[in-house]
Amino acid sequence: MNDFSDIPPLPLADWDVLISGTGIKQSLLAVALCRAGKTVLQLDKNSYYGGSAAAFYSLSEVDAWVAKVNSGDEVGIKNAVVVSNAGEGAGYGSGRGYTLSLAPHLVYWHSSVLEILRRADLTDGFSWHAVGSWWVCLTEEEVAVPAVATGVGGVVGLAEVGVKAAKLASAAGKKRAGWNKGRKKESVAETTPGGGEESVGERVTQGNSETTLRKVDNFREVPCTFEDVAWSKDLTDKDRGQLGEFLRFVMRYNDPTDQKCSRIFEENRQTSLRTFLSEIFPIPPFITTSISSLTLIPSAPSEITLEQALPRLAVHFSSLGKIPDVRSSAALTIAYGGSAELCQVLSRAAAIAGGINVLSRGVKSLCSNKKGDGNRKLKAQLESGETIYADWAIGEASDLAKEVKPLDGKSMSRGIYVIETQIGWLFERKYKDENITPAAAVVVVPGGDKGAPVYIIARSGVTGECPRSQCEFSNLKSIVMSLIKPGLLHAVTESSYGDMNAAIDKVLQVCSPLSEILYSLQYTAVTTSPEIGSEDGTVILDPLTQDIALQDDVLEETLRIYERIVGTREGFMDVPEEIRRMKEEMEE
Amino acid sequence: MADPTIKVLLIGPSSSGKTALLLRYVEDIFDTDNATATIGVDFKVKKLSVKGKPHRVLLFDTAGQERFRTLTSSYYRNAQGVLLVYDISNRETFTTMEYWFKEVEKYAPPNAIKCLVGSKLDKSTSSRIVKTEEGQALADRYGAGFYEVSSKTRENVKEPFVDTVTRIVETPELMNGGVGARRAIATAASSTPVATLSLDSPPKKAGCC
Repeated sequence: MNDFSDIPPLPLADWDVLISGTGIKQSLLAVALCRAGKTVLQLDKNSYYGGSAAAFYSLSEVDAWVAKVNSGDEVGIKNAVVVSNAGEGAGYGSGRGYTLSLAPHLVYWHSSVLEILRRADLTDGFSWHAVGSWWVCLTEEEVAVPAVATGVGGVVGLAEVGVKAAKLASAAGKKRAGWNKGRKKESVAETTPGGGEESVGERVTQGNSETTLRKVDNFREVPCTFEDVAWSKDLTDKDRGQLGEFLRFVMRYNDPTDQKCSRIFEENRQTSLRTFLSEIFPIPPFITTSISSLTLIPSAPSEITLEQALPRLAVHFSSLGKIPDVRSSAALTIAYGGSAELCQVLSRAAAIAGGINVLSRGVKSLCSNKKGDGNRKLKAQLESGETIYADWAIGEASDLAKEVKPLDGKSMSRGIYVIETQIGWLFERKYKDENITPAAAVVVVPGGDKGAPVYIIARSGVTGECPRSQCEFSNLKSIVMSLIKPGLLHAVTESSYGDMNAAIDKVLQVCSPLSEILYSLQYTAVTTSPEIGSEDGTVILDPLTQDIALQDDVLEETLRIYERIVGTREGFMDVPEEIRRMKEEMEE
Repeated sequence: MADPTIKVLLIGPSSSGKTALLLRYVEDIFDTDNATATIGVDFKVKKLSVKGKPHRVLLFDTAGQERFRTLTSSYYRNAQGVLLVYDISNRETFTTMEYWFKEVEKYAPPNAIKCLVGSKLDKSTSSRIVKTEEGQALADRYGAGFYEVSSKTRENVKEPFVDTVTRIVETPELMNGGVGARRAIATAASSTPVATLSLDSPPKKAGCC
């Protein structure tokens, strides 16, 4: 896309920090270090931003990437397969208009990354969308299994059940009061425009009438909100009690003042979530599967340890109900490609803070600057022939000309499917009084006890990742047209491409009109072993994990590196005071 | 009701005079010694009244990313207007305009208003290289507005901004439920189905259960 003949030379040869790569961590560090006053050069060997979190904006860009993967030139990715059923005329053109992202991350409301973005004054740079419910594919038989256990009848222990249900109901009541408290504050802050907020008062009275868990064919909504747990008719009172107890445990397991919960946790760290749930909080297997899906860990249920699952569940449940106007949601996602967009906005933020971003220029070699040209610790030779000096060089091993070996560990199958059908049921508002329609949803097709589930992240056209339909404006014909909205399904599993396709088919079977897959891209992500940086000043980043939600580890790693370089974690990503003042003056 | 917010971008090659134009228009400053982009601020705000109605115009500069042509596609998101700036005394800046128009076509919303701006009009008699007609012809080809301006003398500085914003305001699909309206600057959830998520309230770690 670059039709310039000249390649402008770098403005300096001498830098405080060289960052190679424009992935999430690299870009977070670029902003933080620029804002801390360091001179930062951020390079990328690719002609696009994001590295393993990149997005492609046309199908030809995907093709170029696939060719690179299959020739072994994309570290950590192999075996890419494209299947295109899109005819030239099918509103496709050159394929421009689809955004296929390698990192369509969910971002939990209560995640440290989001907290940092708020503090860094960067949340405005994105279009955020809510992630709706989780859905799990469960057959009637699978759900029927536990019904034996109770029903309304089970005379024995009825008293006990009653107590638990009451306890729980009061907990849920408190919880909702909490939501409303938050909401009111929110609406005070936001009511300026007047109108539009009239439903605030009604929220309390909702509750009972709308508590049936949604179900579309075999896809069942995961009971997640406190209303679901407290009131849903789909749960027996006994299950309700156990589930409520378990959720209490999730919120308290790492609270040192709660000795009972911490003891249970310590004793069961390595127990699988499934075993733990069936033994300590006996709930029917289908609810276990549902709960397990909230961890977003694409491993077989028997392989997910309690230790892995609990932090994830805690983030989910502590985020739930906190997002203004969409209380049934726990997570957000960034439009136009998720974390791919995050990388770009961060890179621009780095440029605004004085950094320089250069694409299509990789590091060819990196060594200690022994000869002492200048005072910098490191000397880097770039692919462009230039030589630069820096005190620090940060990047993934492959971006710093270090050798990378694939590990034998798990590999992850991923797929992106473009479909053109009505999957609107996934994006409907859960409660009538919510003001925001989700633009993404999570669908889980379990792989049985020993098999890995397939996670599917569905993204609606509202995310801006599909071309707008030809005629969006109002005449009758176009309304009919717009019912058939293109959408994207991202699949992640430790299982095979075949299982991934089968799971996608299950979703498509409940969509009408029956849809074929217009386009799909599948690839395999493999774990690589990072080399340890040998030279003083070289910082090797861990490759980005294939997690579905953006993990707090991402931030933790960047904070650690920032501390090494700047000497403190204080002020990480903070907007300098004079800039903040300048912005405030501008708004006046 | 808060004033409607409009997002306008400036793009074009290095040293074509984008930042000078922006500073002259917003702050009425012309500072030849300090010609580099202001570090640390990502946009400028200009209050502008169109047909008697106040609008809040956010003007985004390239932050130097144009130098290595590493402007991100995210920069173009939800832009309702784009000013493409070249220097009338520098042929090369004009020839790159094709590239910048293509960038806009690729990444900006399809109906965003475009305006081609030839800067440094004060050099018109001494060192003009690009003729007015050439600029006009290019602008016509891409359906863009066209102005020649001088940030030094203030000549025509307001026109491209006012014209672009006026055209945006007159284009309902750019103003309604669209693009710019979605930029979450502490706006309340609107009545559009895609309500703006307000991220301004940091979650207080509430005691659970």
